[in-house]
Amino acid sequence: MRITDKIRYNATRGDLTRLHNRSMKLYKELSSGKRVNRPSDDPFSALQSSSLTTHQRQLEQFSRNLDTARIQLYAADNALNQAVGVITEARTTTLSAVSVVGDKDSRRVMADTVGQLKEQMFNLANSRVGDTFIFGGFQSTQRPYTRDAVTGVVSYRGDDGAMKVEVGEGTLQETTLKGSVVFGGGSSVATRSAASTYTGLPTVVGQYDGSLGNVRVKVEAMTAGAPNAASFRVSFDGGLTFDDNGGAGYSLEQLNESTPAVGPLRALGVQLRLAENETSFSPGDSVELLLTTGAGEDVFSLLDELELALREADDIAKVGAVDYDGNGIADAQDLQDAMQAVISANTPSAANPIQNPLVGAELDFFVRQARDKRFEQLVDSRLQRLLGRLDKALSQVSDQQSVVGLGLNKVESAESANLFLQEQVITTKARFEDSDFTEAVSEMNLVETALQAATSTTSRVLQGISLLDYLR
Amino acid sequence: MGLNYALLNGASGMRATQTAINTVSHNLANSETEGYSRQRVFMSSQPGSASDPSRGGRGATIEKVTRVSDRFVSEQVRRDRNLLGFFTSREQALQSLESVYSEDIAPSINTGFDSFFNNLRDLTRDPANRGARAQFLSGAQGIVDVFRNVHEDLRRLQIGIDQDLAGRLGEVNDLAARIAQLNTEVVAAGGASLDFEDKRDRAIRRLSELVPVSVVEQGTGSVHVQLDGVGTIVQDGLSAEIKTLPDPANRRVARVVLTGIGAAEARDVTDKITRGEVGGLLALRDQTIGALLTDINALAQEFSDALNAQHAAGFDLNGDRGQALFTFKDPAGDPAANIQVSAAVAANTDLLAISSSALRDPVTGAVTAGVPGDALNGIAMTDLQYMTRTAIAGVQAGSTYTGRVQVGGSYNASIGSTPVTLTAVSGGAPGAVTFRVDGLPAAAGVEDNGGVGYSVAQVNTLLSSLGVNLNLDVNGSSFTAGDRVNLDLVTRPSTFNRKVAETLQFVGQTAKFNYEQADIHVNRLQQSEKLMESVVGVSIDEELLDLTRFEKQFAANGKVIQTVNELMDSILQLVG
Repeated sequence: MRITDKIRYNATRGDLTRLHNRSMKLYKELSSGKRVNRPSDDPFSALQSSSLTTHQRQLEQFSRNLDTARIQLYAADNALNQAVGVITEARTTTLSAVSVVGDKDSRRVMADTVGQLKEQMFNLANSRVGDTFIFGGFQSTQRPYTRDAVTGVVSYRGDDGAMKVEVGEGTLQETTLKGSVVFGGGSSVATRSAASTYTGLPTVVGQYDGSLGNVRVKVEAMTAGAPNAASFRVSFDGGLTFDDNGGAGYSLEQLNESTPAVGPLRALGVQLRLAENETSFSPGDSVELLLTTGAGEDVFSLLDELELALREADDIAKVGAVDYDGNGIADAQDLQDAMQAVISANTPSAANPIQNPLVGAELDFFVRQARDKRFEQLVDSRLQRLLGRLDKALSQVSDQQSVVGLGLNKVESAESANLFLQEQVITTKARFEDSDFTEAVSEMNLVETALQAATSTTSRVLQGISLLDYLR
Repeated sequence: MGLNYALLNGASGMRATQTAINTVSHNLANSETEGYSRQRVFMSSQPGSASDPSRGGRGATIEKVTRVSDRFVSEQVRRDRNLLGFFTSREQALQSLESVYSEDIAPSINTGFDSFFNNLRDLTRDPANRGARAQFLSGAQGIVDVFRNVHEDLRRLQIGIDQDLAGRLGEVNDLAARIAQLNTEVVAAGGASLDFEDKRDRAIRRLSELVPVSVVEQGTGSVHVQLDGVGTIVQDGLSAEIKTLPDPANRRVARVVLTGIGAAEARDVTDKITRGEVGGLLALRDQTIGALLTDINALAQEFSDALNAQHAAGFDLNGDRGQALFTFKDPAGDPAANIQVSAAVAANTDLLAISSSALRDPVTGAVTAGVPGDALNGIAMTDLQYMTRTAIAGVQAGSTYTGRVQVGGSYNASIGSTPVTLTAVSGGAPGAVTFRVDGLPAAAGVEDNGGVGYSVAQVNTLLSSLGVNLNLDVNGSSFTAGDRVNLDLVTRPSTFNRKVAETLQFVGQTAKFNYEQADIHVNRLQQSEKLMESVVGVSIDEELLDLTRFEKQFAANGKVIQTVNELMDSILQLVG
């Protein structure tokens, strides 16, 4: 084949260009540390790299979500820990109150203590992390527990949802709790009708068993009279139909007792207490009980009852138509029965041929003694029942604490799994993207050598030997 | 007379060598001229006369001066240039295209999606916080911007290609006209047409880079040039006109139109030019970038549809069902260019429907607000990032039922994306309501179960064919007859991110293929041009050898004349 000068020139030019291109590419690879700088460098790696980047970003986000979960669950754990302490202290106080004999001051101090414990519990139940209240279910923007300014009754206005965050693909972690499950519903409230002539404070005692769902119970006075004297009728459907004990009406005692017959309120597990003051009911005045189903022991109303019990422990006048000791008979009636028993024992009759019955001041003394003794027993058993409920409350809150603990464990393992995955992704990405430094450097050397050789021979080839040099 | 003949022969020899030396000098002068084919002299001897045998030969004469050429090699070079042109014309544009999709250079669609969904995940941690909502919405602007930017970049590339195209077609026109003119000059110059032929060849070579051509030589010295697959563009002294025309029906993209020789009207030949630089640009614009535009539009539409459907299934802070989160400025235009965050939602963060349940007034039952701490609908929206088959259930706005609707199971894509609608036949709470089922093959023909409607349990039996089931939360609210539950079924071949990654791979592969092919064809062209050069190129050494040869011959012929002169002198001396 003929070789002309142009052929020589074009060949060397082409080779030099090719070598320069290769060295530029290697330079780019070395300076960026990446083998794939444009998609065309390695399209498949570009695809994998893109998917891995997305995965990496997701994992980072999940990590942030895990932080939130951890912080909130930690706060919940803390609050519940303190709540357990509060209930334990209430329990201890109750225990010591049971064995105290007739010391008004010490029991009043205990009542004050319980009042403070309730305050503490209220604050714990309204715990928050930043702007998020953690015991309100989904209602995280407002305090889940509120207190009535007049009655002091605490009620729950959160809901039964649970806020969740995503901590892994398709994995949700709950970060708030339903207050109703932890602290109870605070959900039995009694209110007076607006025009009532009776102005004392009605309260609901006991734990609503939830048998009628969320219900408004109306207790309406049929006759005039003081709370313990008036007779009432009861409606469970907002006033459409009434149960009036066959026309005779119920006394407050009858509403609350379970012996001889189960009163309509007692049948729901609650009792109504109407505080005595100088006022009395007129016919038509009513008291409405709002009963809502709560999931567990209502800690707040329990503490309320405890405080009340301690305050009334030394005041026999406070015994009312409520059956605090749970024997089915209203307490006032109980005392009457005790006194009556002594009197009956000292009343001769055919069935009771007693010699030397007690009379007069002696009889009075023994009657009073019997009454006082019975009163002590009533107070003790009232406190014992409350103690039992405190135990229930304690295990309720502890159970929730272990649920939170479980959640924290899950968060921890999710966090380590997340970190592990992130490492994996980064390693895999590097395999696709990163340049093998030694390989690139050695190739660079080869190219440099080739360039040197090419440029040095270029001059010889181009300048060449031609006839021109020899023809004169 | 005898001696005169020798003189004449010598003179003819000198004349012939003069022409030969002229030709050598012409070659040497043009040794670096682009596209020059070396010329050669053909000398032939002039035979003696048959009637006069003593005369002897009559010396030399120049038969012709020819241009060295090889048609096969020329065609080879033209073809290789044409093939190379296809790939080189696109290199610039492909590099720009790679930049559009590459993560390192500008925020890419992938980053846009990732940020959008991660911002939403952030929001679900604290959904009631108005600041967090505002932040999410301003972040949502990000994905919208990315769609629009990519669309605009692609369109700008197309417009750039159109401008490039106009320039190159202008060159095609010029070249065709020049070839036509050179045809006339070649024919007119007769034997002295060699350099015009060179010029014509050069023009044809450049033309073949631009468009695929075939050359048909006419006996007259003129050539006809055919644009392959289209028609004749040069016929002797006449040439056709080719130019671009914007297409009003298709984004004003340029169409290539040809007015043939002697034709009255222009015709559209865009789809017929598939090779050469012009063919390469057209393929890139219409097939590659056209496909990418279709893809990004489809992606924007799918994304907005899916997000909107899930958004509509939730409640905003006012207790209303979510309105569209993404809208289109011009619903008739390209989705990717027109997608925007709904102005209403952007102006009022309360309208973000993140929660899955609503608060109701306990007395009237009316909805008062969305539950602020409930972020379950927001979480469902983030799930759309990695679900390719989803069933999104939502209650239509205005329905009296305000509980949470949950979809369980996993949609098996058996009926594609046909939506299923449940219309309440008899109202009631979830335990009592019955529905008419439309859109489900399993219920075809008995959509309303003979007028009675299907209970939720029965609906779930029907839905089991899709692999999903519904749960309607009991929250005290109930359905009124006519209320609807919409089940949007979404099937996508891959997740949004995967689609983008695959597009990235496609762009990378197209670019890589192009660069590689360009390299291969550069080598091929180098080979064929080398062959061509070896046939037609001027070798200085060769020419110098020829020069020496002819110089000697010239000297020798001069010597003959000198000798004859001396001989004649001798004879004259004899006589006088």
